[in-house]
Amino acid sequence: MSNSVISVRNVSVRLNGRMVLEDVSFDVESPSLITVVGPNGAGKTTLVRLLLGMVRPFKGSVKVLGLDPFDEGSKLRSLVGYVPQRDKVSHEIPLRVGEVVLMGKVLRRRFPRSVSRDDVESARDALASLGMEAHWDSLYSELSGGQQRRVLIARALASDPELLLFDEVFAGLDSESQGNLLAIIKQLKGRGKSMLLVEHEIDPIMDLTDRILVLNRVVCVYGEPSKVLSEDALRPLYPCLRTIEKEGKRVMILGDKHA
Amino acid sequence: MLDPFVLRAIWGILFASLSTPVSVIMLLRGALYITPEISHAALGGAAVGVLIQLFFPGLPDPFFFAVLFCIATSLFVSRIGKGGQQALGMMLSVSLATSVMLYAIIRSYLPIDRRVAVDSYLVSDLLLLSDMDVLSIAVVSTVAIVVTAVLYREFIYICFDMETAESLGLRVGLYDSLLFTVSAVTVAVVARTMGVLLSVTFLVIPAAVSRLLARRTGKMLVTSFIAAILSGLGGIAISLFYNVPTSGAIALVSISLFLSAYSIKLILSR
Repeated sequence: MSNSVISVRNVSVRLNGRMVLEDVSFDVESPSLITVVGPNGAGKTTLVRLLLGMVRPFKGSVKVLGLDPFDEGSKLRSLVGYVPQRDKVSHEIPLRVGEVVLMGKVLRRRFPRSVSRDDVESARDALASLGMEAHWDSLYSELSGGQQRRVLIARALASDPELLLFDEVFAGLDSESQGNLLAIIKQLKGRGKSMLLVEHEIDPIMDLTDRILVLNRVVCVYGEPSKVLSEDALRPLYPCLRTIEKEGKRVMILGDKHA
Repeated sequence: MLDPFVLRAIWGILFASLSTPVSVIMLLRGALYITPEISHAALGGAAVGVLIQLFFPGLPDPFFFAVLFCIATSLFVSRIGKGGQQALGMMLSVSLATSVMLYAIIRSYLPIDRRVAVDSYLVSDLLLLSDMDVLSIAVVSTVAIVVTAVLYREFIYICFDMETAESLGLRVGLYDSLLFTVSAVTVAVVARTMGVLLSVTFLVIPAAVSRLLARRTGKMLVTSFIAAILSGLGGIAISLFYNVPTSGAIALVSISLFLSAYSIKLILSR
C-alpha cells in the first residue's frame, strides 16, 4: 500500500506578482530522504514554506501526512519538524541552548504556552540524541556553526515529528561539521524518519538520498540519484557545472551561477 | 520628608525606567534605533492633544494623544520598514517632518500658557511633573510592562527565529505589531518624562549598557532597568545639588554609566 508523506499536485505559487513555483507535482513515500536542489531563486525555500503552510498556492493541492498544511496546520505542526537556514536565526540573542530547544515544544501550544517538566525532559532527550546534552546551559550564540545546527535539529526533534524539513543545513559548514551532520541524518533515517532537504549543492548528501528533485520554478527532474544526476540533465540549470574526482568519488560541482 | 516636586520626579523616573526592558527586546529585535525617531511623534501628538483640549476641555490629557501618535507612527514605520532600509529611513523622515510641522503650526496658534504644555515634550523638566502627569505615566507604563511580561516568550522567540516561530503556528505579524505597539507606548512615556530631545538617554543607553554587561536575556532586562534607575536618581540628585536641568543631568549620568560599562567590558576582555 502506498504511504505518501508528501503529495504535491500541480501547484503554482505566486509571490509579489512573480511566479515562484509553477505546476509543481511530486510524491514522497515514507520513509525516505528527498533532496531538493536548484539554483538560487529556483523556489526551493518557497517549496518548504508551502509544505509548512506558510504560503498558500493559488493553484493545485498539497498534502503533508494526509493533511492540508494551510487549512489543517494546527494538526500538522506536531508532526513536522523544521530546521531553517542559518541566516534566518539571530546569532545576537543570548539565549541558552535549552531555551532554543524548548521553543520547538512551547510554540506548538496555545497561549499561555507554559513549560512542563515533560517538555524539559523531551527537549533534553532530543539534545542528548545528538550528543549535545552537556550544552543545555550554554549560550547558543557561543556555539560553533556545526553545534548550532545540531541544536536546531534537536529543536525540530523535540516533538518527535514524523517528517523533517531541512533548509540548506549544510551551507557554510566545514567538512568535519558536514560529516557530523551526515551521521545525524543517517541516524534519523535509521529511526524511520522521512526527510526533505533543500540544498544548493548535491554533494554532501548524495550517498544518503533516496530521490533527488531538481527544481527551477518547475520540476526539472525527479528520481533516483543515479538517473537524475547526469551532466546532460543538469547542464541547462547550472552552466558552470563540472565533475571532479574527490577522495576516489565522482563529485558534481554545481557552481554559483544563478538561473 | 521629600519635596512633592522631587517625589513626583522620582515616581516619573521609576515609571520611565519600566520602559527599558522593552528597549532591550527592541535591541534584540534589531529595531531599537528607530525608537528615538518614533519619540518625535509624541511632539506632534501632544500638540494636537493640547489644541483639541483647548476646544473640548473634558477630553483626556494630551499625553494620550502623544501615545496614540507614537503607536500609529511605530506601526506605520515597522510595516514600511519591511520594504528595506531606504524605505524605513524615508518614512522616519516623513514622520519627523510631520510631527515638527504639527508642533510648529499648532504652537503658533496656542495661548502662551498652553505653549508650555507642548514645549515640555521637547525639553521636559521632571521637577515640573504634575500629579496627573505621574498618574498617566504610571497607568500607561504599567500596562506596557504587564503586556511585555505576559508576551515575553513570544517576543523573544520572534526576535530569535521568526521563520520557525511562524512555522510552529505563531502569528508573528500580530506579535511583532504588539511589540512595536508596546515599544511606542514606552517611547511616549520617556518623551513625557525626559523630553524628545533627550529621550535617547532612556531609550537606547540603558539597553546598550545591559548588552555590554549581561550575558543572558533575563539579566539584560534587569541590568537595563538598574542602569535607568541609577541614571534617573543620580541625575535628579545632581540637578538638585548643582541647580542644573534635570533631564540634562540624567543624560550625563546615563552616558557616564555607558562609558564605565564599556571600560569594564574592555578590561575584562583583555
